[in-house]
Amino acid sequence: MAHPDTTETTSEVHGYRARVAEHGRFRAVMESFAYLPPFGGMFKKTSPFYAESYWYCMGGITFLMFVYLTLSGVLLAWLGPFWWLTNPVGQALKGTHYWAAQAFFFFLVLHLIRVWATGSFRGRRWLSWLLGSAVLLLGLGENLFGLLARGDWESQFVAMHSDDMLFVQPYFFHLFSPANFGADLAIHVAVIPVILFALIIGHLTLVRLQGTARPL
Amino acid sequence: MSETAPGQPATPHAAQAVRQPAAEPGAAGLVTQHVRHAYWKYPIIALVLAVLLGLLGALAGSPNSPRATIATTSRQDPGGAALAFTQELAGASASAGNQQEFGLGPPGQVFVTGPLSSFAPLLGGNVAAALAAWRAAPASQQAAWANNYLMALDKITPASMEGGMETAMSPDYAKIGTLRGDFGPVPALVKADVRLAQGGHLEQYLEARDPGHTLHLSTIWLYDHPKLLNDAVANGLTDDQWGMVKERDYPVGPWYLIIPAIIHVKLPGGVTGTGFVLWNLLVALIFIFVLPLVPGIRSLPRKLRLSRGIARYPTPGEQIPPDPNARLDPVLQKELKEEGLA
Repeated sequence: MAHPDTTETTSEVHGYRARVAEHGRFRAVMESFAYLPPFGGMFKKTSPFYAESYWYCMGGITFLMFVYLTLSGVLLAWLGPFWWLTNPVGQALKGTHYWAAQAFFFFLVLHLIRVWATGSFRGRRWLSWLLGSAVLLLGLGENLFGLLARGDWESQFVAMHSDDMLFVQPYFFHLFSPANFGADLAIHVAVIPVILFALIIGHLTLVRLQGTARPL
Repeated sequence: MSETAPGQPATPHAAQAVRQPAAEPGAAGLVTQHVRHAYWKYPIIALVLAVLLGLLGALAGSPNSPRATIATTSRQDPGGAALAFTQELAGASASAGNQQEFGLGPPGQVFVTGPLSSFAPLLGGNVAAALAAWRAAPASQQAAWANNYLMALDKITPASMEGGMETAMSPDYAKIGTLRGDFGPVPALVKADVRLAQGGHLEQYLEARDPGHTLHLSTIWLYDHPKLLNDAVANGLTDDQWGMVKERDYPVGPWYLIIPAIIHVKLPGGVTGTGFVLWNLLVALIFIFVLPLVPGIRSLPRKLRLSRGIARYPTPGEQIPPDPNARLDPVLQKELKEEGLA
């Protein structure tokens, strides 16, 4: 990690030396990511007292899981289905991707509980609630297409189970079949994640603009 | 992730100020409400989670059941393959529901007459003649032949097990030569297609027929064969609508309960695609509009004082003065005033 002094932030209060003096070198180094580019200008450096609780980290950890899913997903897509279905390393990476998806929903639900229980959806923050809800609902769709894009027996069965239940309905115009593995993989890798990313960025921007909601 | 409320100034040396009593002089009211955010914990949390995910991925793995292929399925259960081909010719297969899908077409043509035409010179025997007879017959005659054969197949099909599982039994292929009736060329077509399927040639044909199907046609055919659904039933994957979220050998976590809470409802008319879509739309509307906007419902967390178990409150000896700069947005102020909660 580069020495924080070399890329000091504008405020002396948040400088490396000030932070070392405040709470020691270890913590100052560990938190450097929030004070250096590219995050230095994005993150607020202080938070309300009441938000110093792990409950308020759940949204951030959900985003972290999204980052893990993206990174592992890029690797999986690069090396392809034969690799992730047959190579031990590929199978392990696919396993990590699978568990990160479980964790994504786990932390997202905890975040949802925190937001609801503290009334953080009230007033103008409803728009943020709307975007978060869209992330949850679209995330469930991404989960389904991830299952379809796995390429194993369960992908085959769920493709037909969901096809016969849902996608043969006339309002889908018969243009898409989950039985087509190529379409499933493209939707899972290149369509839904891009929309999810845009929604998450919108959600984070609103949180940045509106700040942490005071518990009601 | 925590952020500062709007209008809050950055707080010099906020961490030191946290434990100062409320009576401290100066601008204590401005600085003690906010503390330096504990960003140093985030890399540790990220590392712990990365290690945990890596261990789970390597040791617990993820669902990875071997794919079904047309060849193995047809070799394991040739009677089911014969049943599927006959249903396709009769227009009574599951794939008839997919007929309108882009790139598909009549299942009898896609899965039976199409591949047989392509392989006829290699198959020899009476296949070319059977195909010619089939094509020369009017549609009503084709349907009569195929339906007669379907009924005959039913006579060599074992009765389904007691208990009402929604499984389809396959005809006994060893007895298929004993069937007699007005079947036209159907038996010859079906038996030749079973040979193609068992040899793996049908799958090759379906993948190579047009570029871009990418298992599309193969998977649709596998659902015509009873084995795919029977295996799913045997693994408990089809009870009602659980198939979407259940994983073979991998019980899903309780956090997925939100999914059955949304989709697992038996509608009066049974499970239909339209009912499924409308029900999910209704749940989404409740979630997005009713829960956060309807007076009374939106105030539930406040009335139940749920935030007491979530937000951090001062420990004994830790006095945090009220934040004079904490302002509620005008919309929320109005709502709270209307509800007498301001």
